[in-house]
Amino acid sequence: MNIITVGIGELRVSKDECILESISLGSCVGVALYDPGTKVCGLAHIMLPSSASSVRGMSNPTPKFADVAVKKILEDMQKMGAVKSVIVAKIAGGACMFRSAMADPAMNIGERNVAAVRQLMRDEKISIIAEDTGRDYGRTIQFSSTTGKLLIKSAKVGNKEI
Amino acid sequence: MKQYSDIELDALREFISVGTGHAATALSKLIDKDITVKIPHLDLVPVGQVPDKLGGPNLPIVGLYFKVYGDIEGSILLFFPQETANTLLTFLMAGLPGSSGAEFDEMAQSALMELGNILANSYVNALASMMDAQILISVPYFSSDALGAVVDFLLIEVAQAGDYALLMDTVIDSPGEKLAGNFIIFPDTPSLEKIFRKMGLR
Repeated sequence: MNIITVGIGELRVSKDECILESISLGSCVGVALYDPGTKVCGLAHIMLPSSASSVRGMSNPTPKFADVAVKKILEDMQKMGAVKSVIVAKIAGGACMFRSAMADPAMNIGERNVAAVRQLMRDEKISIIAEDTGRDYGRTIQFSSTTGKLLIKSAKVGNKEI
Repeated sequence: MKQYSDIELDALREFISVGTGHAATALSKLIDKDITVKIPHLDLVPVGQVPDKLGGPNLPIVGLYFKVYGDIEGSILLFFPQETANTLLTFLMAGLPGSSGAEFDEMAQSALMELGNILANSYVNALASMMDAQILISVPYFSSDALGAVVDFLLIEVAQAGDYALLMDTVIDSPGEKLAGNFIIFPDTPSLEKIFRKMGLR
């Protein structure tokens, strides 16, 4: 099957049979959206919670920000025929990859990314039907447009499907 | 997107060569092996392409991260392929049972963090004396995982300020042993300007 890789800070949508993949998510979060009726699907690989948090306020914020990505992915999916009211979400990533003798809350951007995505899904009235987030390991994710299953691969804890 | 002139890039290359040279000397003394420093590689790349430039997102690595503060602010990442980290541990903990594979126990982690600490301090101290400035680093932060997952934390920091990263990557290597490691520094934009001023380019 056609594998489409979604790079850091990017998003992809598809109405054709495919696997949407993001490689080695650490503190980034993969947001997989799916319309089970039309099988239109999308995956965003977000880096930061909000475009408002940008230090300099970018004139043209990209989907690296959760808020920009969620808005754009929903628009793109609906253009392909997805029905917003039935779209469901699965999310993965948002780990805290570094540990130290001294805990530093600034290191936990992963947790803030996950919190931002959950809030955005509540605002858009989209249910998160499964998630594998947090902890301290990297994840490669593959989202199948035919089954709506999200395969999570980790060198540390093995593979699982949600 | 901010462009840098060839003169600016040469100045930065010179600047980080000195830092990495000192770190390599420290490593050489620690493990009693010859260590060479490759010419630093500087590249202005879209943030998302950084993992590919460093060896690919799937490469298993040990990463040691330091927050940099003082006259220069930003971050430093020192990383080794996991295999190399295991080789380094056999030199560092001579006589003790070595580790293998991807699992690093607490003792191995401490040893690698201490190694990182010494190298990163040599690096910034050399930069500081060159700039006649004060540069401090945080305690070391440890991570062992796929390269993409380890570096995305740094990319997130860079991405807050822009879509491109000025990647300053130096490889340290040992001719006899497979000991290649990478030193990456991401100063923030005001710090880069300070470096240029100190190098007489402003």
